[in-house]
Amino acid sequence: MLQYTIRRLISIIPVMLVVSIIVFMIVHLTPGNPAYLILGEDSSKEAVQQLEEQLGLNQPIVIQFFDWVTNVFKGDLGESVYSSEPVLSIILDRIGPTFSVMLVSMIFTLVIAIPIAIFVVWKRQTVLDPLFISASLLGASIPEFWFAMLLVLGLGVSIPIFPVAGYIPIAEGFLPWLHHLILPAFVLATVEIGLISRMLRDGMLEAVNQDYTKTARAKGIKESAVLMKHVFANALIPTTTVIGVTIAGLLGGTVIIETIFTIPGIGQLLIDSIHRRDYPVIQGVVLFIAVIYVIINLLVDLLYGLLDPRIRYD
Amino acid sequence: MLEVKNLKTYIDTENGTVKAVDDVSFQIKAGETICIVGESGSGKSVLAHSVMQLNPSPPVFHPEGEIIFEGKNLLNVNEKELRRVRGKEISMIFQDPMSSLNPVFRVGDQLIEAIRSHEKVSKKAAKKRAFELLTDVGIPDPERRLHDYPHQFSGGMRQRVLIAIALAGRPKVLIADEPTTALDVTIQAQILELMRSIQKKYGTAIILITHDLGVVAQIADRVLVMYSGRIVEKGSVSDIFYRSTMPYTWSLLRSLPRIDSDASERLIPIQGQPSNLIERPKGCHFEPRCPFATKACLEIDPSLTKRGEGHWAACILSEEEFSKKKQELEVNAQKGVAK
Repeated sequence: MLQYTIRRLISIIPVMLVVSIIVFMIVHLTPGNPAYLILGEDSSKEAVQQLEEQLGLNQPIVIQFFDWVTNVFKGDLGESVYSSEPVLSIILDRIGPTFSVMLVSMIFTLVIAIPIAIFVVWKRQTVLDPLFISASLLGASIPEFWFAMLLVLGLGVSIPIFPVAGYIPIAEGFLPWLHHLILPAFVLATVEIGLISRMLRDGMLEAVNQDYTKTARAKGIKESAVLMKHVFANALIPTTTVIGVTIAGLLGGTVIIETIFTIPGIGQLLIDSIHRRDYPVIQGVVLFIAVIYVIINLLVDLLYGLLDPRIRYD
Repeated sequence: MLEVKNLKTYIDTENGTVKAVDDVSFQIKAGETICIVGESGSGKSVLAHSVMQLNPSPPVFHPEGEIIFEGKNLLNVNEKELRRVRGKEISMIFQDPMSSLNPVFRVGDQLIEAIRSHEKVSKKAAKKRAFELLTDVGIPDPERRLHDYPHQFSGGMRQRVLIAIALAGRPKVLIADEPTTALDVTIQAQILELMRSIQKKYGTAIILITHDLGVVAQIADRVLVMYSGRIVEKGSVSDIFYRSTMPYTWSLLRSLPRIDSDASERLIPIQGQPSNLIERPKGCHFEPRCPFATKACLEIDPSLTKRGEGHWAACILSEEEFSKKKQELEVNAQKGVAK
């Protein structure tokens, strides 16, 4: 297990290298010159040239890339061309809000999706099942930005239960923190609830007719125990994949949500940096997201080993 | 102890109602072994599952019949009562040991669950009993094996574990639905031997579902032959094997290889397919495949009639007519070979 984990961690490096090449190229091939943007449209050619030299932008792109990668390996993501702050500290400043939204929405997802799926499987021969299928499809396909605005209008403006925007760090109080996160997290969770509950239902329906379920029933244990223990444990294996992909997907979803709810997280940082052509920050953020993605994938794979004893990593 | 009376188990399907079990009656006494034999699709598995109420419902339903266990009709009891019977009074082992254990839980935990579902005992006591059960069913090194997962066991070992699970509640009746079908021959013999020794030790009544007549000859006290959802002949092992008066049973035996037969002799398969269980023919269901069928068979649906002490068969031919026809057929067959 340890060996496997280490091997997997090492295998992150080539992935990161490819990701960084792509990111670097896309960022640098996008039209727009940061020096212009920083100095303003009316700046003189000399001033622009001087700034480009200072930022290293006049070097051939391959050399720029090489410099950047070597620094990244040393743990230095560079400095923002906009604020001159180190990129790493900018990202670390913004992690809190993003992770908070992700965490709360993941909790929403699991707390809502799992009981729903179990209940629907329990009542599988009733009208509840087709109703659930429609509802989960609706949840999975609802556009986040639209649903977010609808919720803000409904629960933020018409009936002002929740704040319409903003973020309060957890250090300033748990309840205000949660209060501000409920709407954005719920919007993010809607899609995930639809996906995960559907996946879990399908997995459970398959397990419900397996021979081992029959063995469990023949033991004389309660139907609810059969479902929640024997059937659920088996359905969780395929569902874990979806949960893993979902967590990674949340990171993408936060870009929209953070913009709508003005939450100062990674997503907003990315959008702002793209507007400013702040190359080092864009590269840093994308690389950071890629690392998280790969780590979540690794965690999911390790989790498999715990959920399914037939899988062993050695 | 257990009595099935006029049981009908029907299954609703898109094409109509399948009469999987149609008016079946039998009973079993403590310590007895009865075998239910028949080809695939004859309804023997559905019958076994009906006794435990393990068929999915809907689509399965029982329009008629009673399953009486110790004075109570299991078809009328509530869910709680039924759970008390399952595993505690009547247990079941299934055909495929490879898929009948939950792959994600330890074997010990699955055993302990079975023990604790009927007895309020501590985890420690349950574990001790699980150890004894695994020893009983002949699993080497049970202490260590309790912590293993099902995939770490071979097919035969898994079937032993399933038997241990079935025995956890000290049941009075054990239903075994083709317990050896998925196992290879040497393991089959071991599992049958195990079931026999368990019966001796605990006095468990065994209902064995099988299509293997060799198994029947080894283990059965009484035999029920099923064809298209009905019992067409019942009697002792020797009644069925040597004094059968039902063309289906006789054809079934004739289609088997025998160790004392001439190697050049051909096996004679039963022609045709089992009858349609949705729309039954008017007369005898075996008529289309019966080598002795007469015109009368198209009209009359025979019911079980007594052929001897405890020996019943469903055929309009009398014993004398049957043996006469049998001889004619054999003479003709030999003529055919001679030509």
